[in-house]
Amino acid sequence: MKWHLSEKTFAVVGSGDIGKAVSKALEEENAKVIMLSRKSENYLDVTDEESFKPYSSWSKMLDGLLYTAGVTIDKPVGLLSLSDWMEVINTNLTGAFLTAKHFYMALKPQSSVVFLSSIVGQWGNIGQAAYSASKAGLEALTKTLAKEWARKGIRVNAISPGLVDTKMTTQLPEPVKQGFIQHNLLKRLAAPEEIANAICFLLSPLSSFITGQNIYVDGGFFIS
Amino acid sequence: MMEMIKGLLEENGYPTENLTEETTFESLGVDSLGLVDLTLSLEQKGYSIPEEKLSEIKTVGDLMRVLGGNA
Repeated sequence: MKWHLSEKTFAVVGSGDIGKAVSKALEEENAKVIMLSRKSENYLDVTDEESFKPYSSWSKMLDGLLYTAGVTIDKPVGLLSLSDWMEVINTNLTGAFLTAKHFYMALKPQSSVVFLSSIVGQWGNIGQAAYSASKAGLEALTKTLAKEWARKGIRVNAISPGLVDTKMTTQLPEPVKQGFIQHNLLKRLAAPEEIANAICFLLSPLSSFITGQNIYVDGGFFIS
Repeated sequence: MMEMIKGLLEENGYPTENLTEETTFESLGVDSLGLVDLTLSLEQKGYSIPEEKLSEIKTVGDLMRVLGGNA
């Protein structure tokens, strides 16, 4: 057991490739994973506060919570509609806020919360105004929650991957993808499992003195 | 009502010896964020505390009154 997570219970919000990779890693640790998304048995639409209601009675049952729900609509600002902007902000940032708000009582003392951010939250990126802004907001939310919830020993952190080999990445134009690959020091995309490893570390007691941080898992992109 | 509040305080790790209606939350170490936690716990038990009433709650008796108990 690499992460000491056996018999612990985790909620994973979002059904993307990284969320799935984390769920697989947690299950390999003999942890219980509750997947929450519009596609899961445990239905959750993070853009609809009403859909959080079935979970409002959960009390001190989670050892960890991971928020991975995210969408991107990539257009230059001049072409980005308010509707595009709101769709991205609602899922990536407002959904994270609602998840934190409504799952707070479900968290055990000493539990761990991880938000999936992105390097563009700090770096910005042409065509990703809404996505970048949502991730920057997520990082501020992470720090604030870390301060508010430390009294219960609840740790709150974010992970900022560089470009990861996921379905979302396949939507990128090839030159953009190649630009990202060439800009990072390791000259390749990350595998979802490499991001999952960092997330599992943050969810585990091995990171027991880390809170309020945004950890880059970017192949050296940010310092390049 | 007093027993319920006592249980609630214990669940949240606060001392409950010699608890009376006059006991202030401040004296128990319950600050504004702690009061929010207590409110959320009460909501899970089916009680509702209007946000605007939160600032009026200084003592155990105040909370009993807001919850509609016999103070």
